[in-house]
Amino acid sequence: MIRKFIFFIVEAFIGMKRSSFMITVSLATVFISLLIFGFFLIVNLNLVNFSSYLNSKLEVRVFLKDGLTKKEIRLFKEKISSIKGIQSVELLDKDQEWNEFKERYDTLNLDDLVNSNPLPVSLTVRLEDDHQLKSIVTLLAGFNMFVEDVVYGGKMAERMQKVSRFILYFGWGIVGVLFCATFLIVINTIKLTIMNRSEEISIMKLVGATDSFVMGPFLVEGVFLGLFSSIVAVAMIHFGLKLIAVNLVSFLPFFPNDLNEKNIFIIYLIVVLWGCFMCLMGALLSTRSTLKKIL
Amino acid sequence: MIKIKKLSKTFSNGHRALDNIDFMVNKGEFVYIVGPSGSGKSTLLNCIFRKEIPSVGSIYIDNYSLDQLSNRQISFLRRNMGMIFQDFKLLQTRNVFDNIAFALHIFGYSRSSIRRSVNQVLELVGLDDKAGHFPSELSGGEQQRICIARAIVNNPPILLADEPTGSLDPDTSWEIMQLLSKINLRKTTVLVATHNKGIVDDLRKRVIALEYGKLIRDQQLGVYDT
Ligand SMILES: Nc1ncnc2c1ncn2[C@@H]1O[C@H](COP(=O)(O)OP(=O)(O)OP(=O)(O)O)[C@@H](O)[C@H]1O
Ligand SMILES: [Mg+2]
Repeated sequence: MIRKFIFFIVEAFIGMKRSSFMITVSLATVFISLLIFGFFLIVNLNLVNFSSYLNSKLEVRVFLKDGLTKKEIRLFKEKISSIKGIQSVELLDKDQEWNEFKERYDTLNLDDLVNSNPLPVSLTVRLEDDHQLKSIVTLLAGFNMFVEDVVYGGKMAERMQKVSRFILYFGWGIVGVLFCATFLIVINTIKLTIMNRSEEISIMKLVGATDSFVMGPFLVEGVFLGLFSSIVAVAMIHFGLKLIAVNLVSFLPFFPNDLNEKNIFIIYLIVVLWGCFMCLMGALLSTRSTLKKIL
Repeated sequence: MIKIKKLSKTFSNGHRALDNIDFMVNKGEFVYIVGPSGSGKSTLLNCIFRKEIPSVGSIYIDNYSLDQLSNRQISFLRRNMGMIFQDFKLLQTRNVFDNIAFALHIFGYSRSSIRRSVNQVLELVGLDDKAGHFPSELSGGEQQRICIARAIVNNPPILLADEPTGSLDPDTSWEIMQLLSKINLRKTTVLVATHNKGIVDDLRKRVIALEYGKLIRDQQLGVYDT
């Protein structure tokens, strides 16, 4: 078993050496498509995070006047909770919120800029649906005894979501097209290396090689193609990200860059596995169809 | 060992290369298949080797019909039959050693036993000094001997030889035939297609003669022509 496997690997390299031009071309194609795939996975992850961040803003924020007592706040909260169309009302802990805010934008060094918590006491009002948004906002703003300001990012958030959804679909579309192209190229490359060796294969079969034995080196070749190009792509993405991350954070501190090591690692793994899988499938498909033509 | 029953082969262009052939070969026999060029000798061996598929009739090896074999079974059939091809069928991109070794890789031999077997068989055919050469660097006779070496390296019970002396001088031809009869002494069944009259008449064995695809003579200790 291991003996055969070593033989397959040696044979695969001999084959690749012989059709090195085609191999280079397909390495490059697979590499580029995996690079774009990985890039989109990362953009995707960010956009998903961004939209869930925005989604959490699909709510009305009611900032209360300074100097209200706890009791007044509680009463006001109960009062608006009973308004038709309001699902829930939540009192926000302004200290905790301030800390979260600072954490999210830690690159801004907020503590240097502001010395005390600048956030007013606020309520988060979730609506049952957004049809009554306008009227409820006017209603809430009417309580001018308590309310300092009413802010709602709903429309804005929705629009942002539409944009990010469009970007996602568009990205997946490109990734899909690229995959088809890559798949075809892999199939063709393997087919060419098989054709290059068709005489050899027919001799091997005459000497008693089974189909699966003949297929071995080409499948190894396919996996190698996928492995090599995906590793290069991942390396490229990795260093690219580091570069971007450094620049992005200083230019766009508000962009929710949610790329922790675990997520990134999973993305890398997906890229490598997918690359290998795709190339293996391509190799399998083309060996099967091509070997039938060789008696 | 080998049983041929009402075998006919018509090629796709309509040419009838074999016409209703019937014969039997016992285990350990040595048989010449003779006949003029184009009489169907190669086609007959190719049918036994399952390189060609008979149009009509059946072939049995050890009482197993070759009629309906899967690709896999064909592979295993071939591992039990060495074939010396008329056109050698050597891998031009591999050296002599690898040409023989790859057959053993197929059978799953270990590296060390491959080296041992290949060196042994190269010595047997007298080419142990040419192991590193490529087929294109060898004479026709030397290539033929590589082909023989590859066919016998795993001691198959059946050896099919298509013109094994086709490109050899009389002395080497004689040596090769001695080699084949030596292999035959090890209980290997040997079928040799040839039009080398001298050999057939000197090394007397059973002779099956073909003409226009028909079996016209089957003679023990026969001669090339009557
Ligand atoms: N693939 C093929 N398609 C059509 N006709 C073929 C094919 N192979 C062989 N033939 C024809 O079948 C006949 C028998 O061929 P075969 O090769 O068996 O002859 P042979 O006895 O081996 O001749 P030789 O002594 O020259 O090797 C020939 O007339 C040949 O032209
Ligand atoms: Mg012939």
